[in-house]
Amino acid sequence: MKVASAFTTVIAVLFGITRLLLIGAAIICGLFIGIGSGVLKIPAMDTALQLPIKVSSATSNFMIGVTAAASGVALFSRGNINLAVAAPVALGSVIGAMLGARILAAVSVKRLRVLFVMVLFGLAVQMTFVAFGIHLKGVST
Amino acid sequence: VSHANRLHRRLELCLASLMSLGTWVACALITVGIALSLTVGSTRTPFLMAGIALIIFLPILRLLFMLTSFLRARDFPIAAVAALVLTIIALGAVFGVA
Repeated sequence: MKVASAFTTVIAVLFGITRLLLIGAAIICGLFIGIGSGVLKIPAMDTALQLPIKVSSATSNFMIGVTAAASGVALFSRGNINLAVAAPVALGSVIGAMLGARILAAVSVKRLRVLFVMVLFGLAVQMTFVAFGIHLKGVST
Repeated sequence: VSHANRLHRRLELCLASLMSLGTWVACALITVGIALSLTVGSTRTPFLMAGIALIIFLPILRLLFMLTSFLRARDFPIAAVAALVLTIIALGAVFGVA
């Protein structure tokens, strides 16, 4: 009994630490790198918090909505949003989100993981290029 | 399933359809705005502004609902987080205007 309760305490502490790590990572991404870190949140939730990948993906999407709203309100009220760019992107995102929500429910976890690793690999390659000052055309972080 | 849970579930479904409706309305506004900007030439049409504003407002509506439902469920730590995020958004709006 004692061992079990000690074990749960350790798990709880570790869970707390990983959550703190996630908060730290989110602050760094938001402040310094300037990326929403949507793609990086999914492996963080998947590995550190042991969430199923479909739950991680859906949660990440929701988090992006909330965090983007925080800066979106400020930028919109300042008039900094380029409507000619934002409007078509918003339409495309809605179509993508609707398709994505249906595909996510249907696709197998294994296939989703493989697809995800490919996206992450592409992102890693692109970020490595950027780190060495090579900017690939048509791709942004 | 308790009565409170059923009520919460119904509220969740109601909000889901509200969010979905909001997204459709925003898309319709943006489509009209794009069509107008193509014919008139200016992108600063009120339809585009309203559509984008609605898209930004929808997650905030979700947060407001989360705050009230967590308060009702007496889950105060999570309610505090929701309140904190809403405060950050409000601050962003205030400093954005200033």
